[in-house]
Amino acid sequence: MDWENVSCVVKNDFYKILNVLRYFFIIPFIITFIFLVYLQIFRGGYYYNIAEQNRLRMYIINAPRGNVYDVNGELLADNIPSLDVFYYPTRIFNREEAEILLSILPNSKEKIFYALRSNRITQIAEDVDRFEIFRLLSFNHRISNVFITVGYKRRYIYNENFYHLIGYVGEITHDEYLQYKLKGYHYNDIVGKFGIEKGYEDYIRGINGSLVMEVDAKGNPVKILKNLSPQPGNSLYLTIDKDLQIAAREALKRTGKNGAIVGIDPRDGAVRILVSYKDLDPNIFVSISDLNLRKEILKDKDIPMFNRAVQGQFPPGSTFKILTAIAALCEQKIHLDTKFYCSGSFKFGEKIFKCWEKKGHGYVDLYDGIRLSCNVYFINLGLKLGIDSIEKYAKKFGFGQITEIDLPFEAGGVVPSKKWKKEKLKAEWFEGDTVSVSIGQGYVTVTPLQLALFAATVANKGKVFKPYIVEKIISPSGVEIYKHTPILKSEINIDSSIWEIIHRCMNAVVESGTGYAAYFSGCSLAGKTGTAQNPHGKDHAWFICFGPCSKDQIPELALAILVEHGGKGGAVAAPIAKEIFQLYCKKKFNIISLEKKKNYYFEQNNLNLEYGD
Amino acid sequence: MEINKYLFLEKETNIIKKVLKNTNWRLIICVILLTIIGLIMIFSATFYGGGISYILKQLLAFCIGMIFLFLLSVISYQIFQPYYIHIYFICILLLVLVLLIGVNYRNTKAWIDFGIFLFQPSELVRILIILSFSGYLDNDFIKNSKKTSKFLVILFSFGIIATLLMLQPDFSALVVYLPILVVLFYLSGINRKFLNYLLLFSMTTIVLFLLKSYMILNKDSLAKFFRWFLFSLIGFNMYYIIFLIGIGFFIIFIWWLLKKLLFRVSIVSLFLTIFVIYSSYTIVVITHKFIKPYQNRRIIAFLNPYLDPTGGGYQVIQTRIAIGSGRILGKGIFNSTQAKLGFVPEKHTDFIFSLIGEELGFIGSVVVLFLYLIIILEGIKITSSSIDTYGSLVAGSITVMFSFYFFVNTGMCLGIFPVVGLPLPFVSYGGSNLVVSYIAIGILNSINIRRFLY
Repeated sequence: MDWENVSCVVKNDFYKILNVLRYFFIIPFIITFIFLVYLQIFRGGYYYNIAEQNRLRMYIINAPRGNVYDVNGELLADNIPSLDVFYYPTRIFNREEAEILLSILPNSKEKIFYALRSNRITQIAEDVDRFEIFRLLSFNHRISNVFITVGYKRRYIYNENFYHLIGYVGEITHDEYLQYKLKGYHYNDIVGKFGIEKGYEDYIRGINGSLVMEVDAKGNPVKILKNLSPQPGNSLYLTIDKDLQIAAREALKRTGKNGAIVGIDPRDGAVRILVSYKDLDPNIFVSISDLNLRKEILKDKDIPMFNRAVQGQFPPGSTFKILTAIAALCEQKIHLDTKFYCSGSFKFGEKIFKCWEKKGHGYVDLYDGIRLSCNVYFINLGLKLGIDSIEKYAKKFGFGQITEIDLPFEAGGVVPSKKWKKEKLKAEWFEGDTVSVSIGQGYVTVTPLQLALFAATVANKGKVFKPYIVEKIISPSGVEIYKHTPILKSEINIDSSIWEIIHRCMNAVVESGTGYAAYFSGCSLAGKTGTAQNPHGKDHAWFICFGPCSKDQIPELALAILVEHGGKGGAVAAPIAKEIFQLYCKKKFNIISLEKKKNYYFEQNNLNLEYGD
Repeated sequence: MEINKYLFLEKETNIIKKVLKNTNWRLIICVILLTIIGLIMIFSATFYGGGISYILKQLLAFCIGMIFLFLLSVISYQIFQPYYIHIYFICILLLVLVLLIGVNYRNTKAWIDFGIFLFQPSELVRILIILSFSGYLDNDFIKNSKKTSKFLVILFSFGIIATLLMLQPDFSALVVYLPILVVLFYLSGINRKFLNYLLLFSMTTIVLFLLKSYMILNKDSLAKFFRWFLFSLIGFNMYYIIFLIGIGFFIIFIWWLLKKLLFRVSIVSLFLTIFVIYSSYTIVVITHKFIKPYQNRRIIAFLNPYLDPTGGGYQVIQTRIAIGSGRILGKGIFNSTQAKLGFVPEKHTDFIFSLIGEELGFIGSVVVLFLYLIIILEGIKITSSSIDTYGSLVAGSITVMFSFYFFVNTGMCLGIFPVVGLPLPFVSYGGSNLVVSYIAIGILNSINIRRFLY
C-alpha cells in the first residue's frame, strides 16, 4: 500500500517507531567498536603475548658445564650424559597421557601435577633408567607432549675429597632464579651452589641452547623457527694438587677428628691443598634434591657443610708465638741472647699462667723458646711488646681480615686490640689479656687459611700474597681466557737476618723440638706446633710448617694443619705434615727422575728434544 | 500493461538507464568491497590446506549474486506482494524437501546436493519469509493495525517454519527470525502494548536465567561485586569512574527511550510489569531445577570463559586472543597464528572476523565495521524513503537482518556472545549465504530505485 493512502496517525506512528529502531540498529556497531578498541588497542600487547605463547614452544637444551682440572691437568669434575624426560602439557587436558606418565614414572608425581597446573615445560624426571625409557618410547604415539632428551649430569670424580673446594651444583631455587634471571637462566636450570662452582659460575656455565618451534592447537610441531646448539662452559684449571689433597684428607680422616688442612705455595700464594673434614659427597646433590637427606645433613653434629678451612675461626695457640717473636725482634725488645726464667708457671697479678712443661724450662732464650714452645718466655715478650704492637704486626701478616680467596663465606678471624675490646665487649683492656694473646690464646682467633698464609709469608720472608685457587680458565675452543698472576698484597720490610733467625728456630722445632713428629730425613722442614685451649672441650691441635728449606731457595709448600679437639699439636697434627711432605718429596723426585729418564731416552735415540713430546 | 507497471518504471523504455541512475551506489560499493575483503581473507585462510577451490567457489557465488542483484534491481519488488501465500508455501516446500532429500553434514540436514554445489534452502527461506510476512501484514495496513488476530496468524505460520527448522536441526538459522519478527510487528503497528510485555517477559527471563546460572557457579561473585563497589567508593579508581559514567548514560538512554516510545506509566502497567517480571522469575526457578551442573557450566562459559578455560570457554578465549593479538596494524595477510594453527575454529566461515582482526588489525576490523554501518544506514534510509508500506516493511526487515547478523557474528568473535553458528554476510565463506545476501541487497536496491515512482 502506498504511503500516500495511509492515514497520518499511522504514518507518524511508523516513523516514530523507525526513529527509535534506528538506534537499535546502530547500537551493535558502537558496542563492537568499543570492544575492538579495548581488545586491540588497550589489551593488544597482552593478547599478542598470549598468542605468541600459544604458538611457540621453546625447549632449552642445557649446556654442559666446564670441566675442572687440578694443577697437573688431572680431571676433577666433568659431565656424564643422562636421559631426562620433559613434559609440556597442552592447554587441553589429556587424561590418558597423564595416566601413562604416572604409571611409568610414579616417583615424579608431584612434578607431573606441577606441569599440568602451570602449563609450563617441566623436567619431570632425570637420569631415567633405560628400561623406563623404553617403556615411554613404546607409548610414543599416545604421549605426544613428552620429550626425552640427553642432558648432562655433573660428576665429581673424587667424591668427598673436593667437596669444600669445588662445591656442587643443584637445581636453581626461586630466589636464585630471581637473582640470575637477567643472565639468561631458566626455571629448570642448574646452578653452582657452593665452592668454586658458585664462585666461578659465570665462567664455568655454558650457554644454553634452545629449540623454538611453532605448534598448532593440538601441540603438533609445524616448523622449527630457531635451533641453537648449546655451548659448553669453560674449563677451570686449579692450583690444587690432587694427590696431596687426597693424601691430606686421608691423613686427617685417620685421626678420627674433624679438622682442616691448607697448603699454600709460598712463592705465589697458590693453594695446593684445601681440606676440611667433615665433608660430603657432592654427587648426592646432583642426582636428587631429596629434602629428607638435606635435613639429615643439617642435623649432623659435625656440620659437614661448614668449610672449616675458610669459615672456621679458632684460637691459634702456640703457632701465634712466631708472630710474637717476629714482633719482638723487629721492635728490638730482645736480643738473641735475652733469656727469661721459666719456672713452669708465670704469676701475673693474681692470675697464674702455666707453661705446658710443669717442671719449667729454666733459663730460656729465643731459640729454645720457640723450639720448646715455652709459654713463660713469650708471656714475657708479650708484656714487653704490649698489645698495640702485637696487633700492628698481626694486621701486617693479614690476621683479622679476610684473605680474599675465591671461596664463599670466608671469615676474617679476630685480632684483639684495646679499641676492639671497648667496642665489642664494652670493657677496658687488661695486661692479662695481652698475656693471653701473646701465646695465641684469649680473644685472638684465626682461620686455618690465614695461618697457612702466615706460614707462607714467613717462608718467603715477608711477602703476603693473595691466595688463589684457579690457575687459568680455558674456553672450549682452547683459548686461554684468564691466567692468574700472583697478587702481592703487601710486603713486610724486615731485616733478613730476623727471617733467618726465625727460620732457624722453626727448623729446630721439627728437628729437635715439639714438632719432631714431622721430622723425616731428606727434606728439611720448619714448623711450629700449637695446642689451643678452648672452652668447648679438648684442645685443638695445630701445626704450621713449610719446606723444603734450603739456603738459596724459597720453600715450596707451607702448611697449616688443624685437628679439632685433637689434643697436642706435636703429637696429632705434626705427623700429618710429615705424611704430606713425604708424598710431596716423593712426587717431586719422581718427576725429576722421569724427566731425567726422558732426557736419557732422547739422548740415547739421538732425537731432537724440540720435536719430541 | 499490468506487467509494465512492475517491470518498467513509469513509461521509460530505457530500463538500464533508469536503473543505473537510481541505484544506491553507496550500498552496492560497500557490499562489493566487503565481498572482496571476504575473498582475500578466505584466500588467506584456506590457501594452505584447502588450495584454491574455496576461493573459486566463492567467486562463482559472487558472480551469481551479482546477476541476482541486477535482476532484482530491475524487477520491481512489488511483484512479490500479492503472492505472499504462495511464497510462504514455497518456503514450506523447500524445508520439507530438505528434510526428505537433504544431505547430512555436521549433524544438520540443511543442504540439498546439486552435484556441483550444495544449496542451503534455509538461507533462501529467510528472505522469502520476509517477503511473505511483509506482504501479509501490508495487505491492509490501516484496518488491522490494532488487531491481534494477524499477530497470531504470523506466530502460527512462523511456528510451522520453526518446527521444520528444528527438525534439521538448525538453531542458528532460527535465531535470526526473532529480531525480524519483532521489527515487523513494531513497524506494522500490531497491538504494541502486548508486544512490549512479551518482549519484557522474554528479556527478563533470559537475563534472570543467565544471572541464576552464574550465581550457582560462583556463589560469592555478587558479594564480591558489592564489596568492589563499596571499596571503589572510598578509593579513586579509573574503572569505577568509567563504570559510573556508563551507568549514567544508560539511565539517560532508558529515560529517553521511554519518552520516545510514549510510555505512559500508569498503575495498571506498573502492576503488569511487576507481574511479568515475577512470572519470568518463576519460570527461571522452575527450569533451573531441571538443569544439570554441566549444562549450567556450558551456558555460563560465554559469560565468563575463564571459569572453564579448557572446556566451553576455550573457543571464546582463543578468538579473543586472536582479535586482540592483531593490535592496531595486524599481523599481515597469511601471517595469522591463532587462526592458522587451529586455535580458532572455522576461521574461513563463522570466525572470519577473528581472522580479519588478527591479520588486518584494528584498522581492518574498523573498515569492515564501517562498511557494514554504511549498509545499515542506507537500509534505514531506504526504509523511510520507500514509496509504499510493503517496501518499508521489507527494507526494515532486511536491514535488521543484516544488523543482527553482524552483531551476533562479531559478538561471537569478540567473545561477547555465545558461539552461534551465524556467518558474517558477504565476508564469510558460504555460497548460499552470499547469493541470498545479494538477493536481499537487490531487493533493497529495487525499493530504492522505485522511491520516486510518482
